[in-house]
Amino acid sequence: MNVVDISIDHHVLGQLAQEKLSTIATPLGNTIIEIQGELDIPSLQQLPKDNYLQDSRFSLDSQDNPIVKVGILNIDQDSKQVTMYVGTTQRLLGKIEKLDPPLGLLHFVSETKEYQLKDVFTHKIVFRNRPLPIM
Amino acid sequence: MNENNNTTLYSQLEYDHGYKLIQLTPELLDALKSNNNALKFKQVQTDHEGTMVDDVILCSKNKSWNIKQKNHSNTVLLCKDEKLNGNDNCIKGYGKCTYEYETRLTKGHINLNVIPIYDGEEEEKLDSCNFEELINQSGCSMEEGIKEWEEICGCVIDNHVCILGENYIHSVLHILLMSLMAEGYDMESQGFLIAEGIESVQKDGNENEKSQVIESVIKRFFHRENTDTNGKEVRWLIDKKKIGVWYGIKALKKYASKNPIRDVEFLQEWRSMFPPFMSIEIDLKMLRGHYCKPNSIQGQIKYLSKDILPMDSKQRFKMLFQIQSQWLQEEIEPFVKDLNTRNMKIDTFIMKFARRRHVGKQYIIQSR
Repeated sequence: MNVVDISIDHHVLGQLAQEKLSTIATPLGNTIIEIQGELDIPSLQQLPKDNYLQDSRFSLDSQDNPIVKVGILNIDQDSKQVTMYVGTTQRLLGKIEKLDPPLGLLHFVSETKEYQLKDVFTHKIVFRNRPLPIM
Repeated sequence: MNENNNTTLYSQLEYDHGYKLIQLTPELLDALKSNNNALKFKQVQTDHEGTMVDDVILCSKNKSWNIKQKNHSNTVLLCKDEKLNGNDNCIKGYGKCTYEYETRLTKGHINLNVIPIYDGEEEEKLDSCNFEELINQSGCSMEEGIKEWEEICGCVIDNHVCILGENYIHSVLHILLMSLMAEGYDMESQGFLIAEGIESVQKDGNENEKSQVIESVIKRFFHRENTDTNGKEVRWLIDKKKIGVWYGIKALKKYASKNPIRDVEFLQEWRSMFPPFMSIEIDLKMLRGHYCKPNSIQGQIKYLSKDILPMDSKQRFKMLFQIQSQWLQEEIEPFVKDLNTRNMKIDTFIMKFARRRHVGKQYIIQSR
C-alpha cells in the first residue's frame, strides 16, 4: 500500500486562478509537441565521447546538458498550421490542437517522494503525417 | 516561443523520465483550484470479479478518480522556452512521454478487508489500524470514507478501527430506541445530541456500553438535522426507513431463511420486532433485494442474501431464475444492479441476460 502526495507548484496555482491557459506555450513556457512515430535522437552512448560537440548539430544547454538540433518550427497562429523543417531535405506539416481534457504535467521529486504539478497544457502541436521533401 | 516566427527546436540527448502527463477532467481541475496539496495517489488492492488486482486511485478531499495508464507509440516531447547558443527563439525537448494517465471519476470505497468485526466482547483485543491509516489504505477520499464509515457502522475504539457485528448493532439500536423513548425525546422533529443519546443508554442499566459504539449506531440510523445550527452541536433525527429496513432484514433472517413464510404473516412478525410503542410504517417493497418468491408457492416469501449469488452476470441471472422463474423488474433489479459496471441503462442491462415482458403496467423478467 503506497500513498504519494501531489503538491502544486505555486506558479501553476497562480495560472489556474487567473485561467491563463489559452496559448500554445503555457505562461510558464512549456509546450507539447507530438510526432507520429518515433523521433530518432542519438543517445549519448552512441556518440564518440570527446569530439561529438565538433558536429554542428550538437551543443550544450545552460546546464551543460548535451542537446541536438532537431529542426526549425514555423508557426502560423492565425491558421493554426505548423511546419517543421528538419535539416535541408524534409519538412513536417502539423497543426495546433486543443486538448480536451487539458493535460497536467506531473514531476516526481525523488527527495520528497511526491509528485508536483508543474504545469497545465490546453494545446499541443501535432504532426500526424509523414515527412515531405523540401523542393 | 515566438508564435509567428521561426523557432528552433532542440532536444536533450538524455531525457528526464520523471515527467508524466495526466488528464485533467473538469472535476479534477476544480479540485486543483480549490484544494491545494490535498491530492494524493493511492495504490490499492481491489476485487475484480474475484481476483485481487492493484489499482491506482487519485483522491482529493471529497472525490476519487480511477487512474489508467494509456500507452501510445507516438513521440510526445515536453519542451520549454530556453535561450540556446545565443538564440532567444528556441525551445528544448527535456522529457518524453510514452503514455498519459487517464482519469475517470469513480465512487471511492473503504478497504473492508483490513477491518475486524467487534461483537462487544470485553476480552476482544483490537489490533487494527487507526482511521487515518484506514483511509490511506482505501481507494476513497476522506469525505467519501467518513460517509461510508457511517453507513457500515464502523467504530473506532481506543484508536483501532472495527466494524460492529450485526447482532451487537441490533441490541444497541434496540436499547437506544427504548432509552430515547423512555426519556421522552421527540426523535422526529426535535432530535437529540449524541451526548444525550449516550447518556440515555448508559443510565438505563447499560453503563458499560461504550460511548463510541453508541455514537456509531446513532450515525448509522439517525440523520443530521438539516437546519443551520449556528455553531451549536448537531442534533440527530430518527431515520425511520433505515430502522424499518434493518428490522425487516432481521425478521427475514429469523422467520424466512429456512422456509418460506406467507407475506401477511411475515408483516406481523416484522412489526412485532420493533420496541414497544414504536410506530414505523412498513411495506414489503422496503425489503426488495432481500427476499424472493420461490417457485410454485403463491403469496409466500423467503430470505435471499445477495452475498450468496455468483459474481458472474450470466451465472447470477441463471441462479435467480432457478430460485424464482419470473420476477417483477423492481424486485430483480436490486439483485443485479451491482453487476452493471458499465453504467448501462438498467433495462438494457437486464435484457442482455433475460427476457423482459410488458404485462399491464409492470415488466416481468424471465429466463430466455
